[in-house]
Amino acid sequence: MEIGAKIVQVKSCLSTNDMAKDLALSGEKEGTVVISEEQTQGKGTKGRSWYSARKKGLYLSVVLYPPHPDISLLPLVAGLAVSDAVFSSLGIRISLKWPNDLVWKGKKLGGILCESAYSGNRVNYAVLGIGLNLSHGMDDFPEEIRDQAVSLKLISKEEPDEKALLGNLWQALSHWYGEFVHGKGDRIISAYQEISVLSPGKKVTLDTDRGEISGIYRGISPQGGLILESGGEEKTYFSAEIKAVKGSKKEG
Amino acid sequence: MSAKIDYKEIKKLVQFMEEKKLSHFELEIEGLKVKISRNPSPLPPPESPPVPQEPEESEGNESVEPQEAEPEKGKNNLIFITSPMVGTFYLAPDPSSSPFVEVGDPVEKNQTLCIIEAMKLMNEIESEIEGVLEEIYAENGKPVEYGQKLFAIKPLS
Repeated sequence: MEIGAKIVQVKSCLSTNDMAKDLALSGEKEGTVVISEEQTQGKGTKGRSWYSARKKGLYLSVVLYPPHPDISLLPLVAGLAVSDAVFSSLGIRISLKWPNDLVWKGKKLGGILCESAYSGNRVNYAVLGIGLNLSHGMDDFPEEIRDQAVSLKLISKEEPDEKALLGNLWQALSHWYGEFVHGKGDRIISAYQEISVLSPGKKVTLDTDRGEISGIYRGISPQGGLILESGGEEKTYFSAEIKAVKGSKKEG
Repeated sequence: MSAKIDYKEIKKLVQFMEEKKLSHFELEIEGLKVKISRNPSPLPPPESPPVPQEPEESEGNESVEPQEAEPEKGKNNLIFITSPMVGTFYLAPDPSSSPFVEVGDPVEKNQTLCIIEAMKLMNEIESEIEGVLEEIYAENGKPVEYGQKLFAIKPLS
């Protein structure tokens, strides 16, 4: 299966994920990608919007039909692929902040938003959405996020070669999605941990559906959950956000 | 390892309870607990096709625990939708929207019932059948486990 063999390119859309979902529902073949120059209602998580300036960022979604219903590793697959593609293109190693942020020196470079639909326990389709800040200058970011955001252009001091980056991205996505399809979750987890902003033993505060919880980070579970030791007990979290990391070099 | 129980065995237990006219039954083996209660059905089920109705308490309907034994069809022909993953259960697409479904609503095949979020992966759970939503078991914004019962749907046919 080759991701990026077919690309649907549009100038503008509400959200590439919604377009990809419509394609999936109409039976589009697996691996087809939707790319838009801008998103007018780009989605973040929890119904938040994703700032999607025209021609500044990369906004794309991939149509997938996962062969097994446990698809919790897909956000990690997407993060790994973007990190590899950026490294191949620019020699810059970006980090991954569990579960779905792409960061560089603590600043946000992009994010992953995957969506899927199940009929009962059967997965109908999944769309893998990637947003990456490409050629934003500082002034292109809204003032309120300026100190927390970064683009590839701001990092490398030159205009990124989007075509080369995309070529590398299709290759990396095909590779990591292939690992997922073939049940090589352990390889995905270990590669993810290599470039995670967290390293085992760090003190982490999570914002979870049960409230804020602090503890010691112990790694990523086989299903992609974050393992936290708190009060002498290890627990795996699947729905949470990292609120704070204490003493992490990669994060600062 | 804890003991397992499958649907067939639960069915046998229910039949046993019916034969003996028991209303309550509890069983515990190696850490596995099964609790079944039933209210004897006073009337045979109506012949006419069901129409959307107010939720009512189970009538001749056994509630079976634990949830590991994935329930498919209840005595009342209810179809249960279970969670395909561990995550957070959302009844609406975002906090400002109205819920996808409410108890008593007619439900179409492939209609979205809820979203389960895990690792920021938003999974829409659709109904496999057409019917009426009889029950919502999970709570909005709360964690759900793999295999946990989320909804009961009464099929149209």
